[in-house]
Amino acid sequence: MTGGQFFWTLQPARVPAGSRVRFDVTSIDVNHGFGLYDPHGHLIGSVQAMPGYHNQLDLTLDEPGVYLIRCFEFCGLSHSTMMSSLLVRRR
Amino acid sequence: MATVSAPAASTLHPRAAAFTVEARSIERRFGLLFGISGIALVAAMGVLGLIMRLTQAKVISLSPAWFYRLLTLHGGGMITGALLAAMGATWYVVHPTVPLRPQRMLASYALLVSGAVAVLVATLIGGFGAAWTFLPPLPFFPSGQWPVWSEAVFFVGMIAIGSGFFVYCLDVLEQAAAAYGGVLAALGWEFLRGREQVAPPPQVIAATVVAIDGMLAMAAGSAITLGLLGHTYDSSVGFDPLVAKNLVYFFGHTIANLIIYLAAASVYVILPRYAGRAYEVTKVFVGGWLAALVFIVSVYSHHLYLDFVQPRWAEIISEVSSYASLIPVAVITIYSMTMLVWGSRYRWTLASSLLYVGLIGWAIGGTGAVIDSIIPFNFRLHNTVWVVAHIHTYLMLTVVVWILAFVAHMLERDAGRTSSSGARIAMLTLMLVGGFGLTGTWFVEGALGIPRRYAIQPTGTSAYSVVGSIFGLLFALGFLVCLLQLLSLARTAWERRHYVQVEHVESWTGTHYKAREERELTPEAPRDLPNAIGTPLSGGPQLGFGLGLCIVSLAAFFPQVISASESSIRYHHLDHAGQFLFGTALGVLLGSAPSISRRLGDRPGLGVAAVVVVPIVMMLLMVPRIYEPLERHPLEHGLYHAGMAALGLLTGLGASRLGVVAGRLSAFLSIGMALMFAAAMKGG
Repeated sequence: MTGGQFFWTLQPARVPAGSRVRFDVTSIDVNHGFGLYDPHGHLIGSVQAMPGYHNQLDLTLDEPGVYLIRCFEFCGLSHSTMMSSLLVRRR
Repeated sequence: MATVSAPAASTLHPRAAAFTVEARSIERRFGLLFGISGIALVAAMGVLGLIMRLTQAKVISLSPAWFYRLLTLHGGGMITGALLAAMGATWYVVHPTVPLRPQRMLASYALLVSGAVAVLVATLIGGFGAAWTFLPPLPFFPSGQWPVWSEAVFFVGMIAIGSGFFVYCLDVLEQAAAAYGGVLAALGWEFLRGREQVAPPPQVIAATVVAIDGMLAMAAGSAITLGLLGHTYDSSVGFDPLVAKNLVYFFGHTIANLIIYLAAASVYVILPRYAGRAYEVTKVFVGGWLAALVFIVSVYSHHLYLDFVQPRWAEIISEVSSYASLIPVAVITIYSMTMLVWGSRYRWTLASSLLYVGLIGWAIGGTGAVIDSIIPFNFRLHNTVWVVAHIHTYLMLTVVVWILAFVAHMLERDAGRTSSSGARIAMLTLMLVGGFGLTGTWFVEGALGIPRRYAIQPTGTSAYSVVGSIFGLLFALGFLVCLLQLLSLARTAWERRHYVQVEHVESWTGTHYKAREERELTPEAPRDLPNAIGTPLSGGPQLGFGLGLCIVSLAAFFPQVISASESSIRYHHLDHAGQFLFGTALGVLLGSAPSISRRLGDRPGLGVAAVVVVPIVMMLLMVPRIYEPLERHPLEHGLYHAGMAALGLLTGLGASRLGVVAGRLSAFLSIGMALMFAAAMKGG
């Protein structure tokens, strides 16, 4: 999971429901914040994305659907539109 | 014709005369200068805040570039404005007991105001918009929005603001230690241990705590800001993001937190005047403030809870500190003040009403802060607008309210009256409903997980911003009503101060009529200032320690050490810091030697200038683009290293003129700044 002005790249972009997912979060430029919302729009966790460091966040994603990712650390002009998504598929 | 002067009126509690010290002219002047300047800055920044909230509500249209410029200016300006007014309030209540130096206060004022102007230029003209927290390396990733010069101007502004507060803290520490026979006595430690029967006044204990923590925070802030300023000249200067983040939050969180403690120092003096009960310092009070001395600087790390690479022990310390810091805040200040008011026939005036409202803001804002600093909550609230809610409850509904109360108190004293009860009730209603409505909206949004610092709110959430804007407008209206009352009081105060009301009786008709005559203002005699006590090192063992430090730090000049330090910028700068350490230790040692100290004489002004300016010059010279050309020639290379030591020598000699406490601490911090500066570097 890598943040950059103003995008997220995640690999893989799809995971099966019920998986224990380890987000290995870093940044290629400035500090960003990785915030993950469940399909109902509830924030379920966040961690900082810092250049040169890797922060690891473990989450179990039980519910299938589209999980929205937003930036949670002010990172410049398009901070509020820096989004991506993770698809959690039914098993 | 006979004349009779009109009797002086008082807005204070009748019993307050027993313990109220009448303010001298200089205290009133500095109080008004800092208070009015601070309120003006806070009001202007509040307008910017309202513009941003209305933008989020989509009521007005502002581009993200301008939104973030205003956000940066709003944060930096608000902190500076609140700090200015709180410094003035504390000076007003501490000066009668501890003769602080007017020249240093003026120097602080000049630095703070020029720093605020620089931030204004950098943001509004230069377009700088990396937020007042300038988390590295964001300032150097402008996305085409701001030029390099605006980065440099912004950092110069922040350094000036930090230096202004440093000078203030240094003066408080030096003078409080001189007045009470040492820093431990000024902190109430000797009273706590039972060695003294009478404790220092509460405002002195609080101001001394703020001074020590303020100097620590400003040293960290200067180290990182000077490094960033160096980067604007030489882009090869790199930073370790984790160390830089620690330094930025240590500086930013601590200075924002200290403002409330600084304002509280004045409340200990002013609020009792309306309750008619003097504030008694107890051992619990002293113990609480000594605990606060530690907790204020150790809580900042909760900003890094979601940086899992941060050492676990730092998170534990922060968690414990965040809980424990409630004790001095809640128990001592809020509880004791409300008990002081309870059953006292409290005089409800403009000033005293605002003082009481500020206690409510502190209690609610403090609770919000503690919830955010509990790790499981922080996991869901970190960098949501919950943080915005808590900081605004603290600053808007406590600090801003208290600084308004402080200026109102001074004007009420001079005017001999307060404002009308109708205006007060309208103001308090608007401020309480508007203020808690605005912060309450943010608390709700934060609990829902809405991120902060968004120019464009997430879809479907702008209704919260509309509601928040309405409450914000109500608060602004209340603030305006308060300003109008202050203006009215100022006018009456001016009249009373410059003219005396007299009653004339015509001798031959017996007619009575009132008139005013110009008052003769008599100048007040200047007060003698105590000299700083002693030198940083005294006696054989201490001088021996200084000599030993000099000998050990000579290792920084060994060719083997210099050669080994070439492996990276961090080690190279650590070696420069070692050379500076040698010079500083030598300066303190020489300045402390009795024969040399006598020759140097009392030069506290030069001492302060040296410990503030010289370390800044030293760190600015630690930019590779400056020193690398010199290092190609052995002689110039050697002279550069000797120059580092010479700058240290000047710093050490300056520190030796500031007495035991301020001298030791400023020497220690100048070396600490060099070490932190080096530690934050990376590359090679």
